Amino acid sequence: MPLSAYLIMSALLFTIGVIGVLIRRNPLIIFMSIELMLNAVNLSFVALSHFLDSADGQMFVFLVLTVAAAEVVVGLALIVSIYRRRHNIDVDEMNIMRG
Amino acid sequence: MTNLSLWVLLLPLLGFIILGLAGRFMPRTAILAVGWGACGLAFLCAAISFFSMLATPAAQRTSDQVVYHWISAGTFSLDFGLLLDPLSMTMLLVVTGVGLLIHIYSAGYMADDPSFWRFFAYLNFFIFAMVMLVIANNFLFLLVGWGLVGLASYLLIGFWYQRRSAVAAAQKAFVINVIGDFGLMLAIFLIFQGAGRLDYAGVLTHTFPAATATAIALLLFVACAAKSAQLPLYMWLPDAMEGPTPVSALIHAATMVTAGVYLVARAYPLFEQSPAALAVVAGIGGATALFAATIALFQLDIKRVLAYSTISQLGYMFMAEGVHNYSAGIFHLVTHAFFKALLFLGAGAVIHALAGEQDMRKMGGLWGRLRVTGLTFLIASLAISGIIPFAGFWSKDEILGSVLAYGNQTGNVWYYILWAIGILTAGMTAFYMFRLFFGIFAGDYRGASVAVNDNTNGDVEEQEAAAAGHHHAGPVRYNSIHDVAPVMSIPLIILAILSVIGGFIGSMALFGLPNWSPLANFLPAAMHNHAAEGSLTLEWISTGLSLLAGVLGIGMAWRLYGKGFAFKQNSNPLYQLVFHKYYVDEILNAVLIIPVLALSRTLSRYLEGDVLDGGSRGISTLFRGTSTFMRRVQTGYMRNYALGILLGVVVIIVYYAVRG
Repeated sequence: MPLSAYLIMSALLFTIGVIGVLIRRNPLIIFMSIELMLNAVNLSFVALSHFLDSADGQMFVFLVLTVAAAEVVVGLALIVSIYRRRHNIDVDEMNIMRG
Repeated sequence: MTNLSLWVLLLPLLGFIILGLAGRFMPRTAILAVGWGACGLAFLCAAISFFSMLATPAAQRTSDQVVYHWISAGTFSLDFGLLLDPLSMTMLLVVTGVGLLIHIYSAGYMADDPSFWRFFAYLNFFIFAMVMLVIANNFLFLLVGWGLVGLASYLLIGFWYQRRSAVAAAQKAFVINVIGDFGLMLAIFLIFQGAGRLDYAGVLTHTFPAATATAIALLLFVACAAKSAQLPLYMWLPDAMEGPTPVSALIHAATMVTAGVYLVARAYPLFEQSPAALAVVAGIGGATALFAATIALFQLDIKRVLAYSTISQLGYMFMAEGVHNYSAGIFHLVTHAFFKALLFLGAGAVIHALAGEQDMRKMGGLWGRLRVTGLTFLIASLAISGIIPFAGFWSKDEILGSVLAYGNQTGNVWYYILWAIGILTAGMTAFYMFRLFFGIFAGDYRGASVAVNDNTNGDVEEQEAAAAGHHHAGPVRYNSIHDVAPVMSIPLIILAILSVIGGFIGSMALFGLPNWSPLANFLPAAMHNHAAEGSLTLEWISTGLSLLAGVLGIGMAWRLYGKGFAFKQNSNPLYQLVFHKYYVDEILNAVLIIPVLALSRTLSRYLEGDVLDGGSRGISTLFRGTSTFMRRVQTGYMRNYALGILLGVVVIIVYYAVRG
């Protein structure tokens, strides 16, 4: 398969992730979408690594996986603590910063 | 030589800190222990240093002690140092000694005041500031002391801040003093420019170009004129009488106002470089002496008579310094500190006994009731009138004698005129002092019986001052007047003794005894006098005439007021002119204050109100409008922020994609 196929696939996944972040109101779904975006990037890293005969891209993937795991931990902790306080995790309800 | 001058400086500061921080919670005895203790120990230290200095040979009496290096920048360095020489020693003794007596007296005078602790805190602060002024070894710390005594004066004039007139007087004093501080600062800038350093040791041996020397000396004299109430900056001193009487005695008679005399004596090598500046000093001194004496002739408020008398006597001191006789100026400063402090404290005792009354028209006949006060007041009056052998005689005659000798030496007719003014002023001094003495003590008591028609004299100011008096409670019945308590009368007696013998510390050259006492050449030796040496005949002519003028003045006062003072309205325009103090305050009001106030009001209404305030209001309206619009962006919805981030990323990517 040509490189462009991987990159188009990666762009499609990324766009789906972005749309998910923008339109969904449940933070868990938003997290999944973010994971989708991260993995879209991972896909392009791996594809490029293969086509360029370089291990650098794969190293980056490990880095991204680590950060993604940490991010999910923090994010879930936030969601839990918000839920304990408000019994509701709808992001549209959380608008106390409105100017 | 034992030099305890650092303690003389620090002890009053310590007293001020203790009283200032904790005085509010301390009992009166503790306040007195701290206040008296700080000043008394300072005096003790000064006295020990003095006796140790006397035991030292004259050539080694100067001690320039560096306490710490303050600034060291390139070639410029400045130390905080203490210069103890016969001149500063004399000033230290006067400041702490008279200061101690007035601390003691104040315990009685201020006994009923609710702000007892504040008064003693300020007094200690003043002693500290004055010692700093006197003992500094460079012009910068002189300026520090100069400013601090101005502050102390301001605080103490406005001590009874509930009185509008006291607050106004304090502000007036402060504003006029700042003019002087400004002059001193300019002089210091010029000195630094010319000499590159500020310590006395370096500056006073430096030779400046003639024009610079004149400018420096004249600017220094501006400072002296403001601090020592000389023409044309004297107006604040009579108003300063709004302060408590011990303050008038200490600050506005004995010590602070003599700072100008001290400065001329301290910086005399600079003045020696400029004959023109010295002529100005002598001329202003003489003019002030005469001018203030004429005003004092007809004043009715007893403290104001003394205030104008102080201005006049300060004029004498400058007159002496103007004819190169610096030690005579300081000598008169010392004797004047004794008898003028005594006069003020005596006046304070009278005011205290009459429950706040200061108007001479409501006194009289107090000799029978206030015997100690009367006697000491009489001694002081004789001393200031220059009657032999009281203190004022010796110092005043040394001044007049040296003015005449200088005129004779230079052949300049102006110095003869100056001398004649001095003699005339001596006569006037004797007259107004005995008018005051007879007014208070002779004749019958006028306080309770005589209704004084307040509306005819136009002297509303004094009436208001008296009516707003701190503890003024109507006329006191004659039989209920009591002489003051020992705590007040002992300082009076000590000062009276000093007013009698104080003159003997001078040189008795008049009687051919120039070295009769160990103190005779204490000051002159240190000052390298350039005074003219007159012949003994000239000295005796001057002495005889001034004594005659004094006796004539007393005689006239006796003829007019010996049977008691009676205020008579007089429509003579010259009398009215002098009675209203030459309308100086009114003229100043019309020429300076009213236009300035009008200008300020206009500016505050249009410039500040419309332009500045309007401008800032416009700016704030602009921001408020903008933010009302802009804050809609902050929706609080996370998705909007996410969209914003996405759009931002897209814009950046598109930018780089298009640019290639």
